[in-house]
Amino acid sequence: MKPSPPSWADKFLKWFCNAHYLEEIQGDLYEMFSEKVRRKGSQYARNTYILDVLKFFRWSNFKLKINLPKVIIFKSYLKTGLRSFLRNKVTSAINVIGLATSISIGIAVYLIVDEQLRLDEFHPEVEKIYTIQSVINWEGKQETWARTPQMLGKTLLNDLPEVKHTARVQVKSAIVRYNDLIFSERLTFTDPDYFKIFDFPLIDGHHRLELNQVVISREMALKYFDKEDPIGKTIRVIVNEQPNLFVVTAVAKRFPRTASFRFDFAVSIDHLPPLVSTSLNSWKNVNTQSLFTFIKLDSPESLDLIKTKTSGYTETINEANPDWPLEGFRFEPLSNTAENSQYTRECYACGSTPEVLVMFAIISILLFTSACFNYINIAVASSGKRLKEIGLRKVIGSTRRQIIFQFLIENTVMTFVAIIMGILLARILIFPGVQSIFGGELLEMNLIQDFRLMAFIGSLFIFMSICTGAYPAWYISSFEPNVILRGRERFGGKNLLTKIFLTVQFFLTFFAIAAGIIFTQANEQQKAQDWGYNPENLLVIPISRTAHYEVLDQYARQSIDIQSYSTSEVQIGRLAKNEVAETLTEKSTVDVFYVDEQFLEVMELELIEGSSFDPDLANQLNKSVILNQKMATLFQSRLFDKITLKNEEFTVIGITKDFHHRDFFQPIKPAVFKLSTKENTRYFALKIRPDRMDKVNTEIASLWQEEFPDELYTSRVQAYVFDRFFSQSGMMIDVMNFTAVVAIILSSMGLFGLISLLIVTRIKELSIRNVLGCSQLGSAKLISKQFQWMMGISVVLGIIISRQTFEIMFENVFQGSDIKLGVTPYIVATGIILGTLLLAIFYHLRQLIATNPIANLRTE
Amino acid sequence: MKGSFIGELEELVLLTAAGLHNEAYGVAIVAEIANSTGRKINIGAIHTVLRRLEDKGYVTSRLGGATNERGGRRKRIYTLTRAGSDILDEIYSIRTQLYQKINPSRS
Repeated sequence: MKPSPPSWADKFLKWFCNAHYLEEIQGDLYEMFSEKVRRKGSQYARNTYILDVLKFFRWSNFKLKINLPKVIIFKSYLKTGLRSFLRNKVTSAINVIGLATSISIGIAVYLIVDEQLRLDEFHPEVEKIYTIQSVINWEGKQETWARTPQMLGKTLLNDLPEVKHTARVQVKSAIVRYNDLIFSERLTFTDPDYFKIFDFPLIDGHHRLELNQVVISREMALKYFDKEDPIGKTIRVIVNEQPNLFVVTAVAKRFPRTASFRFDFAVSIDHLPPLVSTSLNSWKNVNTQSLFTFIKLDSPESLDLIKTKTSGYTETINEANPDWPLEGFRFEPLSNTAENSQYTRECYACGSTPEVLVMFAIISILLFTSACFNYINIAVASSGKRLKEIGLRKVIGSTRRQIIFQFLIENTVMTFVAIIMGILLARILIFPGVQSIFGGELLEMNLIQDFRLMAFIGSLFIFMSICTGAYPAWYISSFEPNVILRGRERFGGKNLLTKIFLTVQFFLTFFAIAAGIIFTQANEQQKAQDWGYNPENLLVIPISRTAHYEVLDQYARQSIDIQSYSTSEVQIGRLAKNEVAETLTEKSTVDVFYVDEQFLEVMELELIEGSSFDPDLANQLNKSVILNQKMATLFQSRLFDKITLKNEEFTVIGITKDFHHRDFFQPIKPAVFKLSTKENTRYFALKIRPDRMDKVNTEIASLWQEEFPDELYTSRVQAYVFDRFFSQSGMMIDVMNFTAVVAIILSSMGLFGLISLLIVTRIKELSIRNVLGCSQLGSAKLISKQFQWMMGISVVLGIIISRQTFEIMFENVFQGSDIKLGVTPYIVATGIILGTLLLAIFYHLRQLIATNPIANLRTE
Repeated sequence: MKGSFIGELEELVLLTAAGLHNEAYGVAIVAEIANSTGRKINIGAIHTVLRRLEDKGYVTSRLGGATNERGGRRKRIYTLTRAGSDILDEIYSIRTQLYQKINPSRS
């Protein structure tokens, strides 16, 4: 068969080549081809054919000859666009700034969401890494626990060749000391395989994690060793009162931003306190001492095999732990673990809750919509000034398509400017803002390497140009030239869509203002909320052994600054212990507070019924408990009823008012007070005379230093116990307020611009009225008539929708507190909108009066 | 001769085309130039040059001479016009005059 050139190259030639020249060019190409076949063989000829085709890929051979008029028109479009842009400086600036702001927020939100979705995916071969989770039948409900039995990892590694590496992880706090520096730190206890599964490169050293070796993070190296070389240095670490010496063998590089888990100090798992380490080789105790387990497989396909194999262990495990019936194990891919972490009890790889991300997305979409509406409204309204231009062009012979094209070009240029500004704005303002609200590292924007970000910004650009450009261009080009030139066009505020857009704009502004105020109010209400006890002037000191108790007890007895004190096993407002409580009719998990006899008095917990623990009778009557109201209601308990806790029967001797020992995100739970012993005491609560807090704290600190030089002294102010909550809800409020402020600025600017333009279209009418003696107030009334329906509808909608939204939101988010929404937000929001409206109207009327009416009325 | 400036490549192509008589078309010109001067010239450039020469009126073209190896496609065969041969003559005479000034005794 005769060799022939590749047909795709021919098609390409046909595509670009002017038909007039095609025959001769293709003929020449074929001739050269057959020459090459003769000399160098058909393969070579075929391979190099495309190069010859490309030699003809030049301007003079193209189908489309250069169309000079088009280029000129394009230039003229840009020029007219630029002129009208400069002529309406205020509205153009509003447009571009509005778009840029929403773009910059969009970029920030994209980066945050993208980071959350890519958590932990930087680990090599991440598809082979799995987190093992236990599925537990907990009080009749199926729950997923992130912790697994200690033995699981090792057993899998021994039994199944498909499991390549396994790492158990446990995080515990410990006291770390180097020379004079003592801090409480979190230690990561793990297997050496941790570093084979996860990619945490080291600056220096090795991570074999033998006994008494520690790998530290860069931050810790700076904190403890500053400029010294940390490698080879020895630190002293006290874990569960056991002192250990660790030699630093390596320092980890800075952790990637997308690492959901990191470590400060990584040590061998064999250093776990003896209670745990002895059970490393038993199936017992799934709950308290169990660990997080990660495995790396030889390939993701082996997962099914491993699933079936592990289900065989369940029985043995359940025999060892009858309290926690295990139903099986889940294998969560590492790349999803952090994302789904809110569905598991506890987590090692933790991500943020999807609600927060969704909230961010909604906020940025709202702002984006608002900015786009601004743009569309102003573009439609401002086209009124260009009607004559359009009419003339149509008369001369422009097609509608050309006019649409013209406006789209102008629009694209404007959007492009906005995109550039948005990127700058994100860098300069938004990223630092995000950091100041949420803390953490500054967001990074890598425009060159991050293709997904580029694609996002690119599609934002296209979407925005079309979104904002399409309707105005279509609308503007729709006018008939004779209508325009006779000056009888119906325009601006009379257009239905403009009315709808304006109403939406009013509504968004209203909603944003109301949201900002409502959130601030909610925060204040929560701060003022009664906690059910008196946290003022209470100093809480955590202790870990009886020696601490003796020292503090002695000090508290002597000090005149201490009014009263008590001890307990838990601190109110922090974690409580969970136990199952039972009566004949009811069974439920409740929070148990182990306290001493004075606790209720020191905390000023109010009793509704019965009495507190009697110090004198304590020994005989330590079978008594005090319930909170919630629990009393749940169990329908009265005084002297019996209640069973941990298989022991107790008598109810008192019922207290409900109190908040969890943050306001959660509802108040049933709680019970039980007497504790001196040996189990973990907290000292000191009620101090007003203004003596600092003095007492310093005194105890120095006393502690004297008595226990090796141990860290910490103290907590009870009144700060919900600070974490307040900082979290404060974050939400900051975000909401920020959004509200941006939305208010955006939409007031938009309203202002739009109203200005609508007034401008009526400028002749207003000038005549002015000349004939109509007062400013009269004109203002006349103009505002145009807006009254839109305002009314948007305010009503705003009230209904924001009320519904925030009631549902607060009920679900702040379950522990009752927030009342007053009418203030709505009054203020209406006021601000009305204010903007009036401001714009009067601003323009003033200008109108200041100018000579003739300037507005003459037509030539 | 104002306005009838002719470039080096144009001159070369024009000369070659004149030498090929009735067989002057793209591939043939490339081959001929390669033969006589050793220069490998891009076929695309030759086409462009020929078209330019035609615009300037030094050559005319017609389609013809389809062969099998061209897949039955015709060649565009270029022939010199009067102006074309005139300008070659003129260039030749200018060059000769200039050349003779180097060593007048030789002529």
